[in-house]
Amino acid sequence: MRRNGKLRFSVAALSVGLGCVFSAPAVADDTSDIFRSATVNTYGLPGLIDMPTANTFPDGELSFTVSHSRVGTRGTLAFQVLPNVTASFRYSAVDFANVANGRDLLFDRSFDLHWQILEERGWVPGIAVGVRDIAGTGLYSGEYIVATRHFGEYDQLSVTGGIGWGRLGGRNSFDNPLGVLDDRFETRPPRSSAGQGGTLNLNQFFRGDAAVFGGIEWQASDRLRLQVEYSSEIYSREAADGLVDASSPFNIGATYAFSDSFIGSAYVIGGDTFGLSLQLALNPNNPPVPASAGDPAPRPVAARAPSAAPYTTDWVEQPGGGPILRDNFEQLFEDQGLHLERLTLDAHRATVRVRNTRYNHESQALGRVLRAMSAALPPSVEVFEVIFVVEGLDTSRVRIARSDLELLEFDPGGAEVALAVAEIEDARTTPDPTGLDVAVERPRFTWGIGPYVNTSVFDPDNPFLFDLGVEFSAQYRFGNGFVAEGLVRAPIVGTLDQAAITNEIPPPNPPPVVRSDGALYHQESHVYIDRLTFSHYGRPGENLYSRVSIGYLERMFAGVSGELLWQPAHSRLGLGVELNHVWQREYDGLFGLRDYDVTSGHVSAYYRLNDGFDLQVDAGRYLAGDWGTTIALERSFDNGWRVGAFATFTDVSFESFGEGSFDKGLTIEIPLAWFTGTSTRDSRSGLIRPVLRDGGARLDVEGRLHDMVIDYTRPSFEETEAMIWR
Amino acid sequence: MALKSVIAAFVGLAVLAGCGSRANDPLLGVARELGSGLLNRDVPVAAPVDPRAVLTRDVIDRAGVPLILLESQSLGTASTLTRIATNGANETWQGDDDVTVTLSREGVLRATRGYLFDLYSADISAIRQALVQRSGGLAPRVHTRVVGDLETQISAYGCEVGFVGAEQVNIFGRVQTLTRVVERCTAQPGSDLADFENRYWIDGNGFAWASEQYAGPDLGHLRIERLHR
Repeated sequence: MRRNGKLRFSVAALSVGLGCVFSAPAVADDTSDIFRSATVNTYGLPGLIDMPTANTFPDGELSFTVSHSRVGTRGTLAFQVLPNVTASFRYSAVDFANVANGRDLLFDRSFDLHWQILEERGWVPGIAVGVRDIAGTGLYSGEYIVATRHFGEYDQLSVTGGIGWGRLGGRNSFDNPLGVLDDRFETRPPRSSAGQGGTLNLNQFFRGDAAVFGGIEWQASDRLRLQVEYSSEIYSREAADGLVDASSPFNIGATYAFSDSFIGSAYVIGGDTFGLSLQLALNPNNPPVPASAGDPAPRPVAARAPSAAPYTTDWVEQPGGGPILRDNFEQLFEDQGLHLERLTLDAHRATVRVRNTRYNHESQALGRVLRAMSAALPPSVEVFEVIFVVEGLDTSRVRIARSDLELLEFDPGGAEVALAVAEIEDARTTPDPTGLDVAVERPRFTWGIGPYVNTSVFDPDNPFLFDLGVEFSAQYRFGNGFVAEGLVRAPIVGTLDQAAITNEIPPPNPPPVVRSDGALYHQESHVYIDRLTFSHYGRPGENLYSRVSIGYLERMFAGVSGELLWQPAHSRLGLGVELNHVWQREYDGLFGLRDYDVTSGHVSAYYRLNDGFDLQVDAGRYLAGDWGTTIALERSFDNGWRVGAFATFTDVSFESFGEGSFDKGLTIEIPLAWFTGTSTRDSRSGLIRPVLRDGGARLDVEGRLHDMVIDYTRPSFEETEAMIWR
Repeated sequence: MALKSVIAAFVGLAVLAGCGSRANDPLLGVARELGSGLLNRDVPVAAPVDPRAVLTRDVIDRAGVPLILLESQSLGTASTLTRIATNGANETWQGDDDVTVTLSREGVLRATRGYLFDLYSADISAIRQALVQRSGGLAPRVHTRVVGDLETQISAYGCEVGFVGAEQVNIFGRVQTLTRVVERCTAQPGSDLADFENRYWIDGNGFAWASEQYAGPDLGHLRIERLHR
């Protein structure tokens, strides 16, 4: 019975992609909540068919929508950044007859913002303001103010009305009412940075003629919704090209929810253009499986028998005590993904150094180490200390009284209190206990051979490129923080060599070519050395971490890179300095170097804002020798999901940068444990960068310190504190 | 690119996957597990052993160790568990699987670990006191679970404890006259939590030889019988 259940569970847990898509909609007690959730429009944002509504997606939701009709194919990734702010990135393809560069399709990338400024409450409708195509080439550029109110016992009927500008101000347009504020609103100027895209089209926002739009949506059943809208969009460019006849203002549509997260729509635009769209929604706040539910139950705390007399301490003198205790730990850690590095203790205090290779919730790892200590250590040891070791570096020292552990194990507030009473300080702040000291030797040499997949999304000419091949990796640890490691890859099949060489038509006065020739590295290589480095990781002082790497640091650059990080164990703020001197590598990926070299480096500030946002600011010199600043903001969920955006501004002018005007992109990190409920520190990260060019390019060196050590600081333990007793 | 070459590459890589001392691409690992999980779906699994069919009083007494029988109605599972740890009044029990349950020394459910939806902890001081002192009346209780993005959800219930009367209870041939106690718990008004009812069959010392206790909205009730003290 048990095995059967376990098997069923693992199938259910692993078939995440399918499982969460095809499960039935949850029956919520508050039906109107379901009915109020936003329908997605063909632009992938809250709306009806083409028009927007004032609704929002659930906070934190990531929604991927693909819509297709004769007016184009649009793929939109939308993220509910805050409860009332939705941001999106869109990659679209339109089959215009005359497209420059001899391409079959016009590929366009655009960003939108949708902000619900007023939540629907009582008789007051929800009101939202939005801007489409904020910074792209302006294909979809349009702005709106829209109001939506729900009616009926279950809010099953919603009525929307709004006013639009730009593309949304096309039908039966009238003079801009904002003209009463300032005459300049009455005309919409052409885009400021012609053709390059990337810069905010601020001078156009809410200017020019306006038009009204509206619509009604009816929740016909739990799964089916019907929409009719009066559209202010006339598809002038598409109509001129013969793609669509939008002479009728009325669009009709229907959506069907296959599950909470998988929704299909069919619609007719202007009476003659049929379209379909599919939406896949994932919300990091709603895992398909509860956190760590796939992990075996932990071994309970081994509580000491109450004793009136002090516990005996003569075990300290027992010959061979150290190895016995080490063997106890190794047995307790077996199959736990925890690895003892070193044990130091005296009669009253014990320090355990441990590597965590499994638990993505760091507090869960902490809880399991502490429970193993309760089982392994003689009763007189009252103070437990745990130091998590990463790449041979001691991170923080977590100290907790053994009696608190015994007291809090099953307390309803025990998770929060355990971390509140624990002291978390830098490992170097307090010396280790002196007495017994046992280190564990682990294999110095490790290696692996296996398949790999390398992907690139939203290349200017191709939405998806990939390579599939075999990789060989090896690592040798010399001890004292010295490590040699390498990765060799042999692509077998793939399309990455078709990536665009983005500087084929160079912009005026361009910076040195450092990234825009990336495709050549795929075209001119067979078996290549991805990385081959000799590094040292160290702790030069309290709260300080250091790294020096020499060798073939990344696919395109070789040289030397040094880094110093200040990151106290309890602090939300970290500060770093990095200095590199690198040479461009030959395209063939072997040992040769090209004749471009540069000194680059940054000072960096890392700050964990409240409410789960991480801010990183880097200032310094980039690979093309340009000086500037990168700002990155990420929303981080306690379970490890991260969704963010970054932008780099340097002294390379927007014109010289070329298409896109400056370097920017979206980042996403997805913990694999979220899908399965089984702890693993593996995650997948993705980067969506509209165009990779030469300005604002950074070295991509392995082992940057902040990422390595931040997981074991107090703010990270507190984020995952619910899992300490799991 | 020819489809055939892609397929050939995939087959080749699948054969190759997993050599060496370092971990391979984790996503491929997940995909592989998923694949084997799906493929093995129809492989016959050893028929589950129902402890009720094989256990006898003789076997239980010969084992001579503290033992409970744990049945989950929602999962359709039943297993015997031995005591693996005692921390104050909390006793943790485990069978031959990856699940543990923690009961107070009187047998009141404190926590579960290893189920898909665990009860992380419960404040059960009032019901324990009611059982030991044989006093009915109001007894608040609190359950905590972890939901959503590692949120600890605290659910407070108002419970009323009633002593129903004496009943003959047969646990694998040991017949005892026990008092049936019912604990009716109501969620706070306005919350979307379900109400529930726990049942205990206690002896003169307030020790529950048998009970049916609520472990949360997904797991439902667990039936626990003490086979040997």
